[in-house]
Amino acid sequence: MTGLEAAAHQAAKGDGQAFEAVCRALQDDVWRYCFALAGDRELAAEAAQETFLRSVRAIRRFRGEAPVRVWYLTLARRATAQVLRQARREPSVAAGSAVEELVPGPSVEAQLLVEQLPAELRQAFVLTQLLGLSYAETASVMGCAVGTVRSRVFRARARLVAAWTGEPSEQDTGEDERVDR
Amino acid sequence: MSTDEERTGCQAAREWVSAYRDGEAFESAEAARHLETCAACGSWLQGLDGLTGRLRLRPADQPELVGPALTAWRQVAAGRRHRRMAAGRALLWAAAVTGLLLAASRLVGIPPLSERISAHAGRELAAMEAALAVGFTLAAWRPRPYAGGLLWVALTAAGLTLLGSGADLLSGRSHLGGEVAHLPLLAGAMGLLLTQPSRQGRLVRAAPAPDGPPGSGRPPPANPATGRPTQQ
Repeated sequence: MTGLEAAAHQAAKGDGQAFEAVCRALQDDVWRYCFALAGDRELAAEAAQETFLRSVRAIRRFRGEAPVRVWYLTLARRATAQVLRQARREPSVAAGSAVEELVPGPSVEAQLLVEQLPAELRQAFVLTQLLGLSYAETASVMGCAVGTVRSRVFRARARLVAAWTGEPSEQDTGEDERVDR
Repeated sequence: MSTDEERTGCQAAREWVSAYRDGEAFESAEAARHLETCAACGSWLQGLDGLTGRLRLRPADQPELVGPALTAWRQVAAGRRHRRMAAGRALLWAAAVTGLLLAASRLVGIPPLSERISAHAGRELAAMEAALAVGFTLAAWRPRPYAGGLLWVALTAAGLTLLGSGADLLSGRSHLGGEVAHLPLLAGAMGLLLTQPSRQGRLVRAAPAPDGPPGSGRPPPANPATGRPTQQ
């Protein structure tokens, strides 16, 4: 068991120091995921705050069925969905408003491309490529099949390559709901 | 059309390499051969390589997330301790009042002692009951200085009484109604347990004491949070 998982189990028993350690270890991931989902700094901040506030009570029920990172990101997905519902906004139309918030540099253009991905492709891409989750963990967070994650990551890449090289994407056939096996 | 077949082959090979680069697909000689021989896929891979490495995305101005969560944690923990303490003190008051009444009634002979207990033993029993009830009163009144010391006294008394009562009930020397008089002792021991400072509470730094004046809390833990997960 890694230190983070052990800390999460301690936090589930009511250890405040362990809870703080878990929060500090996961705040970057939760923030980036919420940002990718909401596409708006204000809403993402609200969602990320809500995620950690919910975890105060919810961590008591953490039993380690999934890694604590996956557990938090799932919490983040639900919190963001609720924040977006309250804001009466769809995740897919929220993209693009955050570009000026980014660290300036050569990656901004690539960032812009990611922002313009459809919400589900963006989610899968951010979870696997930026947060480094496995496809199985990503499927667990997103609540879909592993094969769907594989397809979405590929389609995100295909779109990004097409946009990056300025060629039309021929690969996006839209067969998203194909499941593995 | 042959181009459709080519496209299907390209699509499969590109999807394979996408998963393979993520460590999520097994070797595929067929797909690898396609990527090496197909010019379109070759330039696609170049585009992918050009993109990779530029995607270090990190939004600026990450809000403060941990602080509010810790504040909420402390509030929840304090509320939990507060409820626990309130329940413990209520049990202690109940044990104290019924214990004192029981001791007083024994001293004046109501209800009459059973024939197996001499008047002398009865008075000693009443004295012990009264002593415990006074202890429970003090602990209910001010748990912090009094509950800790009394805990092991009450636990010992309750434990030995339970053992004795159990043995008497099993051998038929006593009946359940006659053992009801021990309930105040059990309630008091339970109340003392509930009013003990919880082990979890002290792990939260600077947690305000839910009862009592400021500064009456336990000293801060020896090693404050390091900001790193505890290694185990």
